[in-house]
Amino acid sequence: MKLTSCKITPVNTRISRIRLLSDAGAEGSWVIDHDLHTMAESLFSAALAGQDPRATASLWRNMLDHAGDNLQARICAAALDVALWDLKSVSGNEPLWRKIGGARKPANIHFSIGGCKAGSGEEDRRLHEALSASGFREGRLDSPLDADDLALRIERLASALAQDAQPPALYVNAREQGALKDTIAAIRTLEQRFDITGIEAPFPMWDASGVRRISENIRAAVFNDLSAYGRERLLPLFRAHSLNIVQLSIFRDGVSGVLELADAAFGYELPVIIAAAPGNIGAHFAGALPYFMSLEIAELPEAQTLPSEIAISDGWALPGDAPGLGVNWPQPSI
Amino acid sequence: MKITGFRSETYSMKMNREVADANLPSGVEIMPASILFLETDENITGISLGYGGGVEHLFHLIEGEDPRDVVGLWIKINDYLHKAGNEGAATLVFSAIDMALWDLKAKIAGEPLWRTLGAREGRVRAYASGLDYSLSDEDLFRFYRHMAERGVTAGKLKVGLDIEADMRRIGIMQDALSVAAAKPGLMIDSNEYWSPKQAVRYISMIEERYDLIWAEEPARRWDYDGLRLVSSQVRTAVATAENLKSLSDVYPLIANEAADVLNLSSNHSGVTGCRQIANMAYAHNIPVSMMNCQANFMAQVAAALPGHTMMEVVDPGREHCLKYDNHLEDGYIHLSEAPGFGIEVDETILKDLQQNPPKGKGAFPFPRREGAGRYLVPPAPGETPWSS
Ligand SMILES: [Mg+2]
Repeated sequence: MKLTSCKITPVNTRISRIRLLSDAGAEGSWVIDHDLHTMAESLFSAALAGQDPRATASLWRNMLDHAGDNLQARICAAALDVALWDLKSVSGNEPLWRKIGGARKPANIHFSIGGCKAGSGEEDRRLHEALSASGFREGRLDSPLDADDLALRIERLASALAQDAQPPALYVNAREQGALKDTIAAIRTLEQRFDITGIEAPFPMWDASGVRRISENIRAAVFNDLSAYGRERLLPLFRAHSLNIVQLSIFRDGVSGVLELADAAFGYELPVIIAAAPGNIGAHFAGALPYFMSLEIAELPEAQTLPSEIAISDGWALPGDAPGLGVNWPQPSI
Repeated sequence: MKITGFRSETYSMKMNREVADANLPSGVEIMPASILFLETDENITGISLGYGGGVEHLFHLIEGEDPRDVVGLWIKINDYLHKAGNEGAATLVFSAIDMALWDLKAKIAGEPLWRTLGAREGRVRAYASGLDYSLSDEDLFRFYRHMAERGVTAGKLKVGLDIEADMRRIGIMQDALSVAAAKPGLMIDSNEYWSPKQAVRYISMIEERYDLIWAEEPARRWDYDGLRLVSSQVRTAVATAENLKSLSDVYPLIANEAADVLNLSSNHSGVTGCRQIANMAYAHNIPVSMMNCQANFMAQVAAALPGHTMMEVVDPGREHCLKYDNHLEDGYIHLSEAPGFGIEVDETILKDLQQNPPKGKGAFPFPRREGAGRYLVPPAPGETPWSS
């Protein structure tokens, strides 16, 4: 089997569908930002054209060699890798979760409300929907640690989730740029009121010892944001024992890199959070990662960019039996 | 597709030559072996090679399951072994089951395992390893020359009991390999016979005459302080891990920067466990190297692992009842398109081996030799062909 071409067509105003075509008729798809069309196409030509799409491990490293330190190229490599795995699974008539060797297993999930302002109609609506629609037991919000409305927002998130679990798991994405001691103090203050499961990026990820010092001085687990991806950026954090949870994203590491790095995390017995992706396709990982913890859900089931066969109920996401990623691709827009 | 049953066969065989190391310099020629057959409801059988009796203790965990879910089943078995531990005989059975499941997964897809695991080509660089402590100097030369004639450019010598003899024999290995490469790759393996400080002394002496790629097991398998000490005091890379059982055993070596190369084996909790170690090693820039095995079947896995350098080839003649489709040429193990591990079993020969067990020198597993870690007990006259 050989890859013959890469076709990119718009899905909406922001993202496009990458289709990898093979001489055997099977094809694989994933999404990419509009801005990265050209780069994805040239990476395909350089690293994938004419290759056997089943050689996912070799092709992943081949693409990374081409991408080098360029983040945009890396994102293209990751997107092409996901499409390769879709192709590999579809050609074997297996869902991705089985192709990667996992069992069909419900994924523990959490809902990310992002950075909506407290009390805004938008946040109220989303919280209500999260609550009523799918029984989320875990939630994540984005906020600087010194924001005036942070405690209020955590409280509202916690109470929105509390109907389904006691205590709910709370994650805060801090994106912190503050001084180390101020950050520790701010988190400790929060921890006097709330039982927080994890803090994302409480300190710049490039300061591995600083991140470790935060972790050593707070109760919550510390995990990386997506500025730390790949072995190159995660290794210093592993070596310094900076992280208590590792967050991996298919938008940085593809399926291949997530599988590789999840094994590295397993060596340290670090739980893995899978960052959100359209169609919630990260649910495929639940049965195959030895230390899978939680999948981030950023879109409610009824408002998805890419509807998929992954069913969400009672705070769990269950992948279906459709071959490949199980994405139900919309008709191409004109 | 469901797993319906299993058959486990054990037998022993006589190799074409003795294998030996510092712990048993007189060597053995009889080797015990086992084959696990995993049966399915669709007439495809998974095969793995190992030393695993006792499959019945874990079989209930996979019975009725789909073999394609091998990683999920690995997690299930690993969790089952939580309290008793993934150790000893349990690890061997765990490994045998996981490998047979991967064989099935690849066979169901109708492809060789190297392709299932995502490799672009079924090709693995080889290094020669004589397990040669009981070979005469002449046979030692013959072994490495034979390998060099198949393009192999690196060799690993068993050492440890007699440093003068070790030096001489490294030279013989180098000469024999020199027809394949101007500068053959040289490695030594002392199989935990030395203490860390003995290792520093002896490796340093060898380094005065030879440039070594790695020194294998220069301290005890778990001793990350000792291994790290050796690595910090010699130029040569420290290789280790062949006697560990899983990623959790290897973790302290990686976290403490104690190993420069990790030796992987089919007993590292199967293909899944092996790949876990390789993936963690790769994230830490530590190369990995697959250990020898019957019919070189683990080359299927090595071909797909990130950071894999070269695989150990011993070739002492262990394939009596095995039909396999790979060969050593131009310094590489070349794998075919045969599905799974590409191994078939000749049942007639297997039955014959079971009914008429061969006789010969045999003492698997190797014990630890007197003096290990403290003082050298060189081979007595007659203990090896070259000791006098
Ligand atoms: Mg060894």
